[in-house]
Amino acid sequence: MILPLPERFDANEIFIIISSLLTLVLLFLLPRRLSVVTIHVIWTFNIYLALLADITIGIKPNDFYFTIDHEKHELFDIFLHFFTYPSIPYFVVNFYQQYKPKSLNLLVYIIFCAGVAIALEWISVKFHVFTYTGWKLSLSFMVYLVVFAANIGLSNIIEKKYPFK
Amino acid sequence: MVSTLTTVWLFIFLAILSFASLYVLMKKRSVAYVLASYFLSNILITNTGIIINLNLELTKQDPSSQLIFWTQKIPELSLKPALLLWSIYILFSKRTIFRKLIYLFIFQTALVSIEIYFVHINYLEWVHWNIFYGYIRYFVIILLLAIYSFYLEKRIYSDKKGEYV
Repeated sequence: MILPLPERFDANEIFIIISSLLTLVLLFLLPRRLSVVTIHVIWTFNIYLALLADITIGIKPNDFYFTIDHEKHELFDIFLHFFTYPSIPYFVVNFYQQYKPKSLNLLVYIIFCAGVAIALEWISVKFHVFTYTGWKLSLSFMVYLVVFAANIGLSNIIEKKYPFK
Repeated sequence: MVSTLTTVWLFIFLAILSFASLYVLMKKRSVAYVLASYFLSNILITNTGIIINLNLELTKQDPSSQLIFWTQKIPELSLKPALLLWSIYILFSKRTIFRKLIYLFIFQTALVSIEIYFVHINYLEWVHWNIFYGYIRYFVIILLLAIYSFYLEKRIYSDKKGEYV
């Protein structure tokens, strides 16, 4: 099958559906501070990063974790990559562009966002969205710091050329 | 037989050339356009690759060492997206249809050749896969990328003009 359906429709699928719906609702409810071009770049950047992680540390010979039920690329993996993952960096960048914290405040903001992302990842581990086979939450925290900083930097570059009106 | 280290150096050299060529493309197009298209091309390459290899089991690869693993990843993240982005650039250029087709065929052949090379050095095994399927795969990727690029280019143009679509 091109994209296999879940082996069992259980907690992890329900978690992905609810979190995706929730983020989509928030996406439309919260005020937008990014231009459409920036959203395109940020969204594709984060899908790319999620896939990059899955095809480098999520498969042999590294095999640090796997997502959802099995090691195949499921339909719900697509949801995870295209909707769930990129939404958090989107919110991080959107709030950043709204309040533009500088120097120490920016550092505190990134650490706070990484903390929130870790909390969400911890919940998703409990719902068996991720199964760690060598990966640790503490490593994810470091990754989130870099990813959020990269997203903010990228959004600044794009917003400078294509500002939100 | 070509050694693994020679192959790694070859692909590192080609990766540097690819990123340099993308920098040139940024000057011809725009930063946002090249970045978003680069990320999407990676997303499409990875997703189709996983579906072909992992889900449909049409190809087989079992990287035994980190070196072999990264030898395959380097062109996937650099050379292949660069070839795809230049294909799209040619497609939307003012060349005649005949010249466009010739260029597209050359770029597609280069893309398929990377896989043929991996098969030749035994990093990849074609189980129920062949060159023709390879061409179809990249044709579909180019088509999807072209649709996205066309839409994104329009967005970028309207954002620059100050219109709000």
